[in-house]
Amino acid sequence: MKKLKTILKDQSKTRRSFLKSTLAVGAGGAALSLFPGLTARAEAVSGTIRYSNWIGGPGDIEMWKNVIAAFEAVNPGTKIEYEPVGWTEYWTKLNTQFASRSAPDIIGFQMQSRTWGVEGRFEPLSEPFADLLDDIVSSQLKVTQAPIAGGIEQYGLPFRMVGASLFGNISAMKAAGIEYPSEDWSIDDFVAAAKRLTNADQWGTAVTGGPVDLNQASTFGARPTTLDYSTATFNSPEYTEFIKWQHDLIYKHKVAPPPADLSAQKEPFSSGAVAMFPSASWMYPGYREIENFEWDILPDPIGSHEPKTYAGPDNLGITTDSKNKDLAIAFLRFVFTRASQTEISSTGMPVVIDYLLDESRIAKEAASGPSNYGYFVKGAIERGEGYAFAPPFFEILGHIGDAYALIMNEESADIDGILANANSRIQQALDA
Amino acid sequence: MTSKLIQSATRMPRDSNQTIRKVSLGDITANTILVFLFVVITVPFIWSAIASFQTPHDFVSGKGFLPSEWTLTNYKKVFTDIPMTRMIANGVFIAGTASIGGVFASAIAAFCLAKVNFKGRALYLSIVILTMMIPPAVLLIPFYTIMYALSLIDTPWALILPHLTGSAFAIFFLRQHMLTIPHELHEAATMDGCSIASILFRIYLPLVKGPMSVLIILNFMIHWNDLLGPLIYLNSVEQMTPTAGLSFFRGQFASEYPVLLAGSIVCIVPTTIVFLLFNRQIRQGLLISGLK
Amino acid sequence: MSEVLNIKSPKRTVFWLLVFLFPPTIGLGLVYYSAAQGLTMGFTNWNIISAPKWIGLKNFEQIWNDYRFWLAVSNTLFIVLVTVPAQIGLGLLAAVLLHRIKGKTSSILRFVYFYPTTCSVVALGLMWMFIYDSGGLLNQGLEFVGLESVRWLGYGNALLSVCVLIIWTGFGYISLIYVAGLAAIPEQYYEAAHLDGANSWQQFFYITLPMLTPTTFFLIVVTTIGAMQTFGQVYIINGRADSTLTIVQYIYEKAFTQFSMGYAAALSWILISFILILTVIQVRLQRYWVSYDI
Repeated sequence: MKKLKTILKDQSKTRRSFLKSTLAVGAGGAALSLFPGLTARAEAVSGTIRYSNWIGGPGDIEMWKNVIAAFEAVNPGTKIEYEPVGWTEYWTKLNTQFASRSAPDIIGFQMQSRTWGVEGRFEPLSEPFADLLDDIVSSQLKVTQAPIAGGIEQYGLPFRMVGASLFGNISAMKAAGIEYPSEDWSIDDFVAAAKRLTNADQWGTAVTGGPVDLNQASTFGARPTTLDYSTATFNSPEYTEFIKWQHDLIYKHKVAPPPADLSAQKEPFSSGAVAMFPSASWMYPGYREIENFEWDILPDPIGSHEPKTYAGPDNLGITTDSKNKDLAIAFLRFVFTRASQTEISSTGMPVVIDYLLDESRIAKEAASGPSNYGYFVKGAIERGEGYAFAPPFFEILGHIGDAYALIMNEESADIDGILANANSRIQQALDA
Repeated sequence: MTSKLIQSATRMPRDSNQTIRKVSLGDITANTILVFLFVVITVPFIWSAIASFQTPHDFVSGKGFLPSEWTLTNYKKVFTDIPMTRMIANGVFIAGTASIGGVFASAIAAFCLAKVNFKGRALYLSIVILTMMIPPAVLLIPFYTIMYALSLIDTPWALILPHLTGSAFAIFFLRQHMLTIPHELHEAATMDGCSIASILFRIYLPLVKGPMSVLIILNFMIHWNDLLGPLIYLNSVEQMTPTAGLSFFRGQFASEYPVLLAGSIVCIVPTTIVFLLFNRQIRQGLLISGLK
Repeated sequence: MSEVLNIKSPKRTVFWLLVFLFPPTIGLGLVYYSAAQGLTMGFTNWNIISAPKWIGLKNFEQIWNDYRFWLAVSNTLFIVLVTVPAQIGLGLLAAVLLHRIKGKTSSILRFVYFYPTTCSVVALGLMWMFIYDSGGLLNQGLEFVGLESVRWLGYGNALLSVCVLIIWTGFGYISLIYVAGLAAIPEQYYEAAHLDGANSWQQFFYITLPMLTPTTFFLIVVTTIGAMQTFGQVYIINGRADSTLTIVQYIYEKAFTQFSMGYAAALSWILISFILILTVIQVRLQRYWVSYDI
């Protein structure tokens, strides 16, 4: 625990708070409820604001309703109008509202603050939240930061994190005589295990081609773009090696199916179709309903580089169209209280460090599954990375997905050519 | 005289071969084709209906065709997770008002464009038809700004008012129909000294009752199924229509497919009822024509 | 055909004309005003967030060099060329067959064929996505008879699969319109032809088809305009690597997921021009084959 605390302190170089050293986290449980900062600023707020967010999965609506109800109970005279929208339609609607300067007071977004904030559509949050910033996982704060003259500005704040892991069908592994792997098992061990797990009824593993790929891609040293999001590296030697390795999984080792042959009707892991499946924390609610077999998170296999853990935030920001900024700020602060973060962590991971590391919380999550939840939390904090969270994120994902569709579904695909094509398109998107 | 014309036109044209009721090769082929089309249309719906009774667990593990246990949980979820009953009421109100009002306005305009000769008529018609070629995406933001300025956002009127002015498709369709009505009918009426208004209301509108019914139903469907409109112009969950409400089950990471299917079926029910209600009108309406 | 109404008092006619055309004119004004606003963006680089800046024809230049645009054009044209004749042909066939059999069966069948049109495009898209799925209805059927399963939504097949969905959805509504048209053909024509010794095929080609030309013309124009604006189906059944990208889908993507409103507006200009040209050609050609009264 202490080691992690030190790592996190080192990461937040720009703002040091000596309050931290007085907090007794250490071995044992966390003993925090509300932050000191919150009680110091209990001004009365009133009025109505609109809050809109997309629906990530079932449970999101319920979660927000509870958080809002708790806030309104503590702050009589306030009303938060919650406007949930389906994921794909959310952006269209937001777009329309932005264009007519009638955006809701608080909105959910991912990485758009880099452009929107700088153009003056988001309220700067560094000052009103100065006391809270240290308490939040700093790798998640980076996504909503934008450089401004004289430093950086926070244009949004993450309210929860999601991340990727390799999921394993423990029952199938036992049946194939494979023991739970140690944390330093290699890529070759992984392929060997996949071979033993592949039979008439199931595949050893599967190839996905999305953000959850990062855990394996990073172990080849591959990234879709450079860390500063200026250059596309989709056809770098490292990434090409990774893609060819994935292609071999399908056609040489025959341990994974061509993606087009995977049925979309059933989820590959919970239906037992794939034994070792790269997936993410947002699938926990679904996976927890698995009755036919035991499952858990497997450690990420190690290649030539240390594997990273995909960990990305969902964020909230206050728009400059808002007419009641005080209330918006008050509500946003409320989102970071322990009670709210507890509610929110039913659909993702909390971003508040102390709560994130809270032993009893980790134990509770592990009890519902996956048992190795602690490994995931450690990975997200120590080696967490976003996946190409550049402003044209969706476009990049589209190009990557297209490349995958062309490469992974054909045995003799022109991998270098397709990757080069996709890379130049990603570069175009980054330059725009 | 007018009534006699109408009477003579209501006899169904008959295929002359049918006087002898013998089953010919033509009949067999015809019926086979019709049955094939019937199967092709119904099977996908039946399959989805069956899936909507599956538990989410069964669906996710892909147990195939028949669910191991039939359950109503999906339908329950549709009505409890979102205020579906209220949404259905909203939908019926919006779709009904918009379609009936819109088709009437279109019929009136179609009459002017078909039977009244005025300067610039061809131009006006072209302007109307031209609107069909404008992709809605272009109109979305300016329209929204106008509605916002009129404070109509989050009210059903934002979705109804634009359609009360008639639709290009309906105007075009009804105009084509009216053009095939011979002018002996209204020449007779003019002799009797009718004004243009009474000609419209007492002769033409009754004659196009059939096509109008078809259009009202079509428009009802379109408005009922409209997804983007309610999502953009409405904010609060209570104002939503069923089709928009369904999108709540399509999340970023996980869509609740069995619930979506159940919800789709719930959405289909009102339009089915409307179609059944109007079916007789259509059948009768289609028989009447103004031709000799 | 223009017919003149001889009204006793022209002044009252004008009054009624103004009253009747008032609502549509408001609607037209609304639409054109919004369209003008929206389309002006085609000459700017507006991205919703910051103020628009005039860039003249730069967008159009970019579009000319945009490989995805040309992909969208070819996909959309493919959809038009496949679905329009197929829907109209199938709809006509169904209408003619329905016309032969009267009564209850006919109206039930009419209802059934029309049913898909009453469902939301999104719901149908979802349904068919599962049917086309690698473990879906079609492949299950193929395996049942011992054939290999097909990648219906694979890169090479996706567009055709979308076309099938469009035809499946649309032919019922077209058949309804044709049924109305068929019912309007007077029986006397057929009787006269029969007396002259014409058989069913000849009756069909020399009476039915010609009398249906106004309806057919209407259907061709409207279905083409609709097909050129295909969006809902491809939005749901998203073929990978732009295999099902249509023009409207590209406009939508540019406008709402990439926030490039200026570029999207420029694309809209081009789409409108395409449709306009196609429609004008069709209207001009109508004098060669459409007859309004026989």
